[in-house]
Amino acid sequence: MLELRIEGRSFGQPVLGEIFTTIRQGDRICLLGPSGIGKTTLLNAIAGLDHSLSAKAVPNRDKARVGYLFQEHRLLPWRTLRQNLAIVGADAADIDRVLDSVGLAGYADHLPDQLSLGMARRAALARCLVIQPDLLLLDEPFASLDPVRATELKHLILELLDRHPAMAMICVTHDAGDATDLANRLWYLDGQPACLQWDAPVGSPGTVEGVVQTLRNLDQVG
Amino acid sequence: MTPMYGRPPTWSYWVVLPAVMLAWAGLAEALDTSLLPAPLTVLGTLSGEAANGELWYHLGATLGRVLIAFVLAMALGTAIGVAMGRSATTNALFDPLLVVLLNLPALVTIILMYVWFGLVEVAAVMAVVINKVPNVAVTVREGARSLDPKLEDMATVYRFTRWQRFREVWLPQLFPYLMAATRGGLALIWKIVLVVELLGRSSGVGFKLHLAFQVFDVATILAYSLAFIAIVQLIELALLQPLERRASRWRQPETAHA
Repeated sequence: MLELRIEGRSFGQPVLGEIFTTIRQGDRICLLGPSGIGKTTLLNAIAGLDHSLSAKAVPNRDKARVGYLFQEHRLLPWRTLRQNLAIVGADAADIDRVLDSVGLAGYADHLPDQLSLGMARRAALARCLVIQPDLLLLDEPFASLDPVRATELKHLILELLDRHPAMAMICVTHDAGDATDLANRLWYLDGQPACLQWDAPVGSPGTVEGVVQTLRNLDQVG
Repeated sequence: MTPMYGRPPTWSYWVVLPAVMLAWAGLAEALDTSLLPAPLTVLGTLSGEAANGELWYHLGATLGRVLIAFVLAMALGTAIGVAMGRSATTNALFDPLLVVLLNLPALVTIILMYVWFGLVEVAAVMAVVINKVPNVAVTVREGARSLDPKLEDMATVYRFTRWQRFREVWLPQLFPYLMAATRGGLALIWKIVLVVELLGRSSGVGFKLHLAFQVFDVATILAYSLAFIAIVQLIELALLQPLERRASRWRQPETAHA
């Protein structure tokens, strides 16, 4: 679906090295790697935000719709949820349906700063969904949520993935457990400049053994 | 006004201003000269000017010039300020010009405009605009520099149109700077318009002050000053403060947790 070609920065110390890979429909990729290695940089490059990367990144990016759940909600703080969703092109019926699907049915007319962290993140997820993305980018979606909220959000995302089987997902996480639950493919980013040290399907998707086995293989490679 | 003290309580206006009036009345009584007319005399002149229509005619002429100059200066200054704040090249091109214009006395611009273009309305308004644009540009540039890059990225990912980016992302962030430019702008433009009128127009408060000055008619000078202060306060209370309240409503919302 998406051909990814990233060739690092042409000046200074490059954060990312050469990364050539393909993202296919229905891929559920968990992107693992040490802190500060450039996982967010890679997501930004895929989303077309990092202009310093000599990225012939994604040839047909202009056609592929990308929904990006940033670490912060990045909703417009001066607009209600309804307005935030309308701005990205959702019509009234979509807005109510999507807000309902992320558990924010009664909050359409709230401002983002009136919501708790978890609610705001779900609202931002709703914005990803209303554009009906081909590729969903999640940057540490469970960070700084309490365990209950994190589990809720994870189930929500799993539900969404089930409902949109063609949508591809890349999820940055530190947690092998998240990878266990979400991924059918693992990326491991490491090195200097950082490259994909490992790009592998999870043996048996959705099972602990599959991920643990893949991670064990990773250790041997690393 | 420093943030340490903030806005003084309303009663202070009702104490200090009448006290000044009383002192003025007492002084006028004691000196008994036409060079310092009593407050009541000034009020009489004011109501006389209002009754014969002179006051409205000249205030209207001045207001019209202020309005046109203000709109032009804000539009131009905002465009230049945003461009400078967003692009290092534009900033490098315009910054030296700003330094020159900011330090150029208003009077020089006015004289030059009148000399080059004649004593016409366009020259008068242009002189005011040229004086004001650099202030607006400098203020708005600060705002444009502080635009949140995270929201920029968001707008790129979600393919905001140029208009959406301006209207939904930039404008709310620039608003405090635009208000600052508006406040400073109106105060400055009022004053420059008066000088422009005094030097080369045959209508407006500045022209009227010029006439009164020639015959040492202090009562008329003070009467027009009072009308002027009243109008400026009216604009502040009726337009600027409601606008500011409306636009900053989102800043302190009640939090709802669930």
